[in-house]
Amino acid sequence: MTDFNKNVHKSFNRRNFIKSILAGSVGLSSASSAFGNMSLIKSTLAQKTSRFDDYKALVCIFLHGGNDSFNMLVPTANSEYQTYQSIRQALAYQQSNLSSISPITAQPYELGLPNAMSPLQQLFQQGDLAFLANAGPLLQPVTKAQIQQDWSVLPPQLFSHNDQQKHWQTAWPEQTVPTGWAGRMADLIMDTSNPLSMNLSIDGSNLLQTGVNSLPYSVDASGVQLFEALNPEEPWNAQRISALNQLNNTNKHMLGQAHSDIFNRAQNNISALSKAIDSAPKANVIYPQNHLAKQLKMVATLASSQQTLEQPRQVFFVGLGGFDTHDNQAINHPKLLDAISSSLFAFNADLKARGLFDQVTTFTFSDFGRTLSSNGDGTDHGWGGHHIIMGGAVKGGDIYGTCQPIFS
Amino acid sequence: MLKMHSIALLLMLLTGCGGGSDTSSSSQPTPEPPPPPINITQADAARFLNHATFGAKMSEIEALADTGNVETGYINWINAQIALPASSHVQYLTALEPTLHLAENEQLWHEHRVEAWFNHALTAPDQLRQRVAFALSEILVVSDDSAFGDDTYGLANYYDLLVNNAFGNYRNLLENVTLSPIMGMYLSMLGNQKPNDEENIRPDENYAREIMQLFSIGLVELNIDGSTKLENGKAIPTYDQNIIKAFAHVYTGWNFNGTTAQTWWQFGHNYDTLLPMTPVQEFHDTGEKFLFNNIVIPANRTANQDLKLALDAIFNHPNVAPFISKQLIQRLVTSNPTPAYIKRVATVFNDNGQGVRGDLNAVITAILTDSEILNGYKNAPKTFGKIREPLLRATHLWRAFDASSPSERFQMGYPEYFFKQAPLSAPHVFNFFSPNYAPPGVVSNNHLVAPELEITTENYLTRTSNFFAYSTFWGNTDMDPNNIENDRILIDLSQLKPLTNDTDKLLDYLNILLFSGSMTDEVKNILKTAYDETSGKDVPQRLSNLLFLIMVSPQYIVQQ
Repeated sequence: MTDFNKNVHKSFNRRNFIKSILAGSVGLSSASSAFGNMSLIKSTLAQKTSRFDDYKALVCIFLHGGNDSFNMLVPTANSEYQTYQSIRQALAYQQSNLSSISPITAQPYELGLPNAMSPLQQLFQQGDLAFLANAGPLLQPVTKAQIQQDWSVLPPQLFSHNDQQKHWQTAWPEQTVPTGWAGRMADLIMDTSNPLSMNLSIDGSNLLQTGVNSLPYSVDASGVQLFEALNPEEPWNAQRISALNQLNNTNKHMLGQAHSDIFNRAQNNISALSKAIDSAPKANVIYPQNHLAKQLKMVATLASSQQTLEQPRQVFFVGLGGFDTHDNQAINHPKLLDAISSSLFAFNADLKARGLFDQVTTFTFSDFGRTLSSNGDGTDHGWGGHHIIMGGAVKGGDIYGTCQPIFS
Repeated sequence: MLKMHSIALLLMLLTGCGGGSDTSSSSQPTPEPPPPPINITQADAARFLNHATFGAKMSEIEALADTGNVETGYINWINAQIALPASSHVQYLTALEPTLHLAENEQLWHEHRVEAWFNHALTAPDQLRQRVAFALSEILVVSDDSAFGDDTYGLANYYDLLVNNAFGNYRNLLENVTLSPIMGMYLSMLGNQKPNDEENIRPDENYAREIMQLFSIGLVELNIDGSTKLENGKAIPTYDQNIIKAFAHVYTGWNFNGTTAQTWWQFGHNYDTLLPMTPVQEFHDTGEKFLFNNIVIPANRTANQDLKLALDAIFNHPNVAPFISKQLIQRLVTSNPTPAYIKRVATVFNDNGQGVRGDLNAVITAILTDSEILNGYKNAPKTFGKIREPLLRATHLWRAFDASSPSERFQMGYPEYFFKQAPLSAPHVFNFFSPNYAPPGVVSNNHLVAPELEITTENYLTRTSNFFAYSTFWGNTDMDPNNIENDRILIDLSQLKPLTNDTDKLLDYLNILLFSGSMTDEVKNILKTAYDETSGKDVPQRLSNLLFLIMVSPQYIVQQ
């Protein structure tokens, strides 16, 4: 062993190493490599008996269909705005309808948010949230010239909704793995004695939270559905429940077994979840009446139930559809941005009121960004896009990454 | 002629892959006598009807079992079904509307279209046609979860398009779907215009992409048995972005029926979702277009000519047969068909025996009479079959037990609350569930898929289970009529009542009706104990309890 190796060996601190990997993931290209190497985390954490003495949660907001985030962060200064306007034409916001933001780190040009997002402008300016600029799946850093020479350096099936959704969720675009990074994380760090998954979905089945051994547990925005005729808390159901359990336990068909697994998970968790939700403090914040807000309200409720549920780590999945704006974008997209913005604003206030703001980090995912040019009244499938990251653990008021130079 | 052809086809399928017993007979001078015909048992009949209808009922099981042997019985049934006139969903709504005495500002809604669907699923004589249309509606997806969600007649008209084309040619179906104004709005081909450099506008790529990814060829090149073709170990994409752009130019210039260059922008004025879209040449791109496989559409053609050439190109792509055949098998029969099964059906898709490609009549016959369907439950008891969609479990219960309603209508207005699915109501063009969905655990570990489980979350499994509690304990005709809401749908337990004092006979009967004869002794014993434990309760409660247990059991939920 050389002196050099010895030194490296000595100073190697596993925890810092992991930290540096995860920090590195907040970039355009390296998400897949960081989350691909989860076994490093396993080796540190698996040895601990009491795994965590604090609470942390992630909230993934999936914007289904491909958010046109180039109409979310928009150039505001005259010359760049002119370029933006000449490219986007009928889809461009009027310059007067943009509210400027002042990121800590200067971008190539000045930027603003559409007025529909003014609540988020406020959160950005007060440092509660940041943007991640121009992110999309890659296998490795590539140049335009390399792509033009050989398309196979890119992840397969770019521009296809479900494939690019998978890329974001697996963080492993080059492999057709049936697992997502939050699911693989749960496989490694979850307390297996707890019947409830640390991955909680308010938006149904998803790949992000699907691991090899762990699945998301699905809760509705309105809470947990109780069983009729099979509710164990009502004694006259006992014989029926016992018979159904026998049927589930003796079934040998593999697809039927998978169905039984879901039934068993529901049966094992409904009662505790329902009680936890009922006993959680009610929100003191008024949420807007949209689908995303209802889901985030349930997330806040479940996050404040984490002690009752014995979940020191939680990952939440929520979703909002309608972003595939091939049509009527000028009318529909501002409404979607308003839904995101008003929901996040209420959620942010609720987390603060519950004392969870520093522990819960919220971020957006979306299939892809969209074409800059218009198809008449909408846009088509693109690739990179901008994203929102919010929470007390975020160094807010800044834009990470660089907005594309096309406007400058 | 058709009938003879279909019988020949069936014989070919039945013998082509059974056990290989007759492969050596061709070299012998005297042919062996044909094997004695296999009679259709009641269990066989039930299994067949569960694949081909919205759920087997005893009268239909008995009728089919009486028709003799599998070589002719199934074919005769299929041909009789094909000969029946199509039950129209638009016509149901047209007849319903005046009876509702709607106020001037009211109109028919989602719940009425769903009512039409349940009415036809439960009572229409053309069961096979309706069942195939439902399968097609989960492949050629449009949804009322969209900007035109309140256009009830337009959506019903799209459904009728699928009903009418269920036994037609896939090429015609593809063209009818492409020109449907509902599809035109759903995937934004309607109003798609040629490039306009001044306004920096280029053609919309939405329909260009999804017709290939989802309705015809898929993303990667396939072998005829549905497996992925590999080149240097990698899948071969069927198209790239340049091909998408070329097709996007093809699909320019179409708008509501009767639109002219002058009225192109008048959406409300042109609006018509009952007639197919028509072209407006001024908005069509007339440049040369380079499609896949070196197919070129020359310049200066009309919108119509371009469309026909493009759809021909797609339809003749070798992927269509395995891609569509596999999904139809998955929707009707089994989630995990063997490559050999896919190949047999895809071969019929490519040529129905008379040189015709895309004959859905022949394809559906091939799917429903394949040896794998006849033997799969025996040869692969742990993997053959599929999870019954909740909608199809509901229709089965209600058909098997002669459902009726005090209102004389089937007002199951919002099945999505219980099931996370309703006809033409998927969250996106990728349907309620993906044909490739594989939950982790036993399914994924064994390289299987279970598409229907994608909507079976804990929350919806619970709601679906509750639906069957409502529809048995609190949804039967023995309930006090004074305590029943007018719009409830009720099962009739009469057919079981003569058997209530003989548990074995009762379970044997339900074994045929609900399990297609697949109830094991183990399951029978569990159900027998559960039933005998309720001997102190009244008969409707005992029977409801038994039916509820069956409807939520994994042994029933898997259709084999």
